[in-house]
Amino acid sequence: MAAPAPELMDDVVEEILLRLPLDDPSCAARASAVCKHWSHLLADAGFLRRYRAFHRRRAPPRLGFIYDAGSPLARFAPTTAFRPADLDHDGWKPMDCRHGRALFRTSASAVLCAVSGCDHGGCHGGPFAVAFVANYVMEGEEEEITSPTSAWLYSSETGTWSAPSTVRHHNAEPFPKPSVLAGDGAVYFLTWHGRNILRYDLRKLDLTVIASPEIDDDDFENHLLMTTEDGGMGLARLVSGHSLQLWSWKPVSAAAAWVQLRVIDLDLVIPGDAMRPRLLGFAEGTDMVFVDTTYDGAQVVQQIELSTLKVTKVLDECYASCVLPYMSFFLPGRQKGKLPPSAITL
Amino acid sequence: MAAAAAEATTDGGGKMIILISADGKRFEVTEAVASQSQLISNMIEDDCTENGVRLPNVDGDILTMVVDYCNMHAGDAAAAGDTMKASSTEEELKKFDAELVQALENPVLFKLILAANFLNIKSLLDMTCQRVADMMSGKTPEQMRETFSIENDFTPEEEAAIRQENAWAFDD
Repeated sequence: MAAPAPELMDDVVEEILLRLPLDDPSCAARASAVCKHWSHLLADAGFLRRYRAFHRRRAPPRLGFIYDAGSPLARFAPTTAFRPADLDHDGWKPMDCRHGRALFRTSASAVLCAVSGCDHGGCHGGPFAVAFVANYVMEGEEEEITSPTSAWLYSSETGTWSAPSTVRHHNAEPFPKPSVLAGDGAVYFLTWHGRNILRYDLRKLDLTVIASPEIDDDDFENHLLMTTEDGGMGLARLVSGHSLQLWSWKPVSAAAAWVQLRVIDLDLVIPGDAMRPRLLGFAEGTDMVFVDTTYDGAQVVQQIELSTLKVTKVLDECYASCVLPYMSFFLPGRQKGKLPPSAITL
Repeated sequence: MAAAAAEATTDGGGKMIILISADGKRFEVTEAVASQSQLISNMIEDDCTENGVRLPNVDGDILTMVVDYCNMHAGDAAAAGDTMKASSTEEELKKFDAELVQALENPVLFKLILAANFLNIKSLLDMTCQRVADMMSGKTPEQMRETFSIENDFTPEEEAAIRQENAWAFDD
């Protein structure tokens, strides 16, 4: 039997615990059961801050996906050991997931932390905002093509909704695909067929319509909003089933312009005899796009890292039309292993 | 008594200093090599390395590893000064580092961590701490306690509560 290991000082222990893997949160959870000191350390706010800062340079941790697996049925599909107490929530329609919060049951909407300057490492449970966009078509209304679309902002601090900002446009009906929050302080939503994009400025509470880059072939399944490397709004569009166009929207003074960043031939990137892929989701703040492909009748979700074109299978047998990755700097100390009820209900 | 040797200089112009381990082993290294230790770097600045640097809490076998590591990595620190011998390529360094930490087991690994911490060699501390963190993957709390020689100070009720709160992490 080897000699016992020498005792490590507290600051050295902290250095080691800081390096616990991000992608296997169970390791930190088990470490918190080692002794009281470790348990306190892992649950300490200062330690959590250092942990986030330490790992920020590395790939962002994705704990799993939420998608609609029924009519509706919100399903959590963990890709790490961490999982919520209940994976399936019948009757819930997943709409958005950001900053440690998920939003269910509504029409096109976005949820975000409401604290300015927050690093969103552990802000769930704090004040949040919900942006809600709806297009209202009256039954039998003839003017359907110019029916109004409005946006409202909810503040959890005041418990109130803002006055609506309304646009009338021939194609401004929001399409239930993931929104993005860009660095310019606006949330963006796709409209049907991806022809237009709704921009809701969260400071000015102003809703505007942006036309997508020109295209002949309308295919609403194959548009996806994303964030670009500089934090701006971008659009991914799959043309002819295999050609992935990446666009960046560069608002320059009053005029705004689309810049095509790249075109990627997915036939060369996705291995095997995959059937025509669809764009399902995007991990905000990263360059990860999620697409589904069909192999022998079974649908699998693959992650494509746009910078390296590395493809990784992330989910099996997922038949959803969009997936929301839930990502968090996560350390399961005491009382932190479960999703607090406030994070999964609204 | 080692003053004469400690004053020696290399042909590269770097001044040599002597490191002395807890068990009296002596290591002659250039200042550039030793300066990777922030502790020694400060001592060099304060001009107090003339009689050798005594390291009363680092054993000779551990100091051998530290000196090997610092010799290997001296190229990084002195890359700006072209008087150094051809420094190791990045690939060689990676291979050396990987082999060094892979081969280590407790208690030597922990002793090396303590030495890196005491001498304040950031890259070595980073590498060795990462190795321990990697080794914790898949370990149960009992195995972690054994690795770190830690007493379980939870009451059975407290431990059961923690396991229950994070039940997903304890599934086999």
